[in-house]
Amino acid sequence: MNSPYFYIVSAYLTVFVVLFWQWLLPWRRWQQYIKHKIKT
Amino acid sequence: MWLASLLSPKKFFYVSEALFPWVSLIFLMSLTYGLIDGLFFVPADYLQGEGFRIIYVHAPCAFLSLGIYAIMSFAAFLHLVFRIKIASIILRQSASLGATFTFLALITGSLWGKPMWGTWWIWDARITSELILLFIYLGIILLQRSLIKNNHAHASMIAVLTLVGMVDLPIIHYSVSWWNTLHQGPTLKIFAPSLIHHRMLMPLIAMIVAFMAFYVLVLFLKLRYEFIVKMNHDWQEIR
Repeated sequence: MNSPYFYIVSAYLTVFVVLFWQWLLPWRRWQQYIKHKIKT
Repeated sequence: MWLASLLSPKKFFYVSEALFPWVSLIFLMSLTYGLIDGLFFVPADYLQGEGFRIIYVHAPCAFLSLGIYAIMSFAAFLHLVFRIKIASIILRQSASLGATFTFLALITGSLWGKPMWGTWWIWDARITSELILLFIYLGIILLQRSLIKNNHAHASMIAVLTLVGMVDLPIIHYSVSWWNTLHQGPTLKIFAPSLIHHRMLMPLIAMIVAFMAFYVLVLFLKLRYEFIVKMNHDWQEIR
């Protein structure tokens, strides 16, 4: 906990996990729509 | 009238399809440069040591939290004055992204504050006003979810709430100048030399560009879905 790297890694991991999730939700929804559209 | 035709769903679809790969390229290039240079090559700060590297995620999140709200306020104005439909959709779809960036600015600020100030949280003017911004975003999202019909009157209610919340933006921006705060003063200045060394500034600008590109990419994805699926525009036909 005293190492600055603990705080740096925590900050970067939090940001990129949350942003990846923010991107994944609309991306997956769009891909599912395209798949469904191609099938029908 | 020309603005309304420019912002029609069909035209928007063509523009977003054309821009998507270029914005993705800008995002990847600036993110790669910003991360590698900011984390591994920029020298440590003389006072804060290695811990200052949190700035490369904290400052872009804080910038976007204010920037997205400014875009939402402009969209609210366009919706109320010119009744442009795409403006209300941009306003609706940006709220969750703005709330995410505000939340991340607070979390990364807390993770930066603990090693530098010795505390995770303090009721400082900058931090408190940023927390109020998060509550405003959450209020807008809750209002959107509580309104079942997606009609003009309901969109106008959201637009009015957004414009009322805009009062928090100058308070956040000038809080470090108006009050004595633990939070440092503005680092980046547009009309005066920035207080940060140019070697540290370059990756910071790259990360801000990367986060802005990320916002545009996710907004494109959300708007496409909204136009085509919810507004019943046929995808094959539009393509």
